[in-house]
Amino acid sequence: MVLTRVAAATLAWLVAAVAGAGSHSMISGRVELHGDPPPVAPRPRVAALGMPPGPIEVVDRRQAVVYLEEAPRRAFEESERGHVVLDQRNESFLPHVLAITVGTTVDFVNSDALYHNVFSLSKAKRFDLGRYPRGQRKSVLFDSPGVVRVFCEIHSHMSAFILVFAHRYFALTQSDGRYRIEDVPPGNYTVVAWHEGESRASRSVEVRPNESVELDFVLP
Amino acid sequence: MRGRLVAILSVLPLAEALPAPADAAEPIRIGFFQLTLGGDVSGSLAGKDSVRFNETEYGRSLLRVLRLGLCGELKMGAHLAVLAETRSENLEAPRLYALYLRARPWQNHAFDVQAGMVPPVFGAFVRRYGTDSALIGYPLAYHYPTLLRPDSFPRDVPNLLRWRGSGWRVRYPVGSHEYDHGLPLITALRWDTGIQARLVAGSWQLSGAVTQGTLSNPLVRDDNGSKQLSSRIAWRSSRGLEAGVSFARGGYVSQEIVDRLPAARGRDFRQQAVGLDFEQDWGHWILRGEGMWSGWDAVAATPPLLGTRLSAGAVTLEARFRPWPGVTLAARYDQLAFGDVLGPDGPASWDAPVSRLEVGAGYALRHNLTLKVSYQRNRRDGGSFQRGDFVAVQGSAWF
Repeated sequence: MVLTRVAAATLAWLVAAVAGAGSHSMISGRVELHGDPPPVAPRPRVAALGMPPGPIEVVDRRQAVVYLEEAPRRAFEESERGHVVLDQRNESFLPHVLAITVGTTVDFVNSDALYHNVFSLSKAKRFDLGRYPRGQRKSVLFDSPGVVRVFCEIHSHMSAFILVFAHRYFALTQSDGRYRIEDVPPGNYTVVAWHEGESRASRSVEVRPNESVELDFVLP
Repeated sequence: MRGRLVAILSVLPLAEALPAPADAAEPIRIGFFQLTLGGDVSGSLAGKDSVRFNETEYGRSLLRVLRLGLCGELKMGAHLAVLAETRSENLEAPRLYALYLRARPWQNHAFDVQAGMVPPVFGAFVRRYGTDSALIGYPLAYHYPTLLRPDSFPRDVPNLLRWRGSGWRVRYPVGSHEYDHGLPLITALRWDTGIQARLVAGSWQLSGAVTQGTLSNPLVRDDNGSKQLSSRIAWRSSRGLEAGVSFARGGYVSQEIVDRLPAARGRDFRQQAVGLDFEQDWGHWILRGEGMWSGWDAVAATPPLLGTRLSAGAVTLEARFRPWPGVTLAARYDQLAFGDVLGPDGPASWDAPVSRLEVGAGYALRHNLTLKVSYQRNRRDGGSFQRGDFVAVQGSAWF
């Protein structure tokens, strides 16, 4: 009985793998924001003896993430163990949004002359890297899916989002709002557009073999 | 393909990730102007402090206060800004804490000038770690009322020593006859009015100020014609050490009061202070320390107390540790000591020495919402009440 189940599961996986292999289907489109999000400024530093010595980076908060709400089974069995960098420069996290898969390690580099203290209290990943100076990097392995909100304990205006996906069917928008999710297996999906902490819109779509689907979003 | 897993977005428990406006200031732009607002609220609760170890000049305990603060910055281009902060305690009418103009004449040089009700350049507590401490109390030097008042003076040494250890409620026969608190070494609760400048050059930071009052007694309007000069020079290493030396000197007594004392006319009554401070950041640890000495030229009806320099010294050592995300542990030791005067029974310190040990823990529910609990052990070598041990809790949030 057990052997039969294992054999059936293996066969199902193989069929899914073969069916998905070689698929060049793609979902692409544009995410349009209804007005640019205003830049974020540091809270008033009334106790300071002057302006910050150096410039503060104006973070581009227009970037959105588009992802499949559901994904093929095999997508959850793929694992990437790469490294990506989240820089701390001019009292900002750069980039402001990271989208990664489970198993990815993020290297938090401090490029400022100031100390920074990266931390997160998010359920998906709680960590506190302590204070460290320019040139040093500290790494965190993201081993659970979810949204991780990242802050600096010293500079309260610094924040970033790390979206950790259990599959690889997601894409960040480019500066013109365009996105592209490649190698999507044929099927019916719900596609979600996320921006600044909220899933703002979702649409259903059918993807056919070797076809591209154009899907645009307008976010309020 | 039917073998699809619902990815619950196996992926996105989005509820906890609120949009950016919840935790970052989004400025309001009106043409040339940009207005940024922020605020904080904190509520502290402890047993009744009848022994007044945490007394402030507003007559309430730092461990039993609800505080609301609202601050704003109006930027006018790249070179000018107006900053202000108001605070209300226990829902009383808000009072102005800061209001000044900030100017950076040259965009490429970290040289700033601030004029108005400005933060102190002396010491470190108010600017560096007044807000990120895991403890609820303040260092003694920044709030504890000594026997000195700017508007009421003892007749002689025995009259001064009679009040030893009771700076939270004192009155003398010369000047005001009302009971009131004495002056701390430096107050963290009011800011002085004047003009200050700061220059940052590499690892060095030099700041100086000319203000109406003194560290002990900040003023909006000068009442004695003697401006306070204060300065601080600090050095920051690339390895997390910052060390500073501060100096301040200014008249602290109202001229009107001095003029009433024939023996005091024509004399200067100044507060002078010197301070050392350091902070070392090291991973999840922060070690901080401050030491300061202050001397006041005493006002009294007659010599020998008249003109005698009454001195006080304070030492603060604080360690902070973050063992887990959102959890902060901290401990601070404070010692406040006073110089001797010659009393009827021989030399005696002119006020009662005080020591304090405070240990506490904080837990961040969100990055801008923290709960704290602390235990404070106070000892005073004199006065009617010599011991005070408190457990306090505090909730605080900023936006």
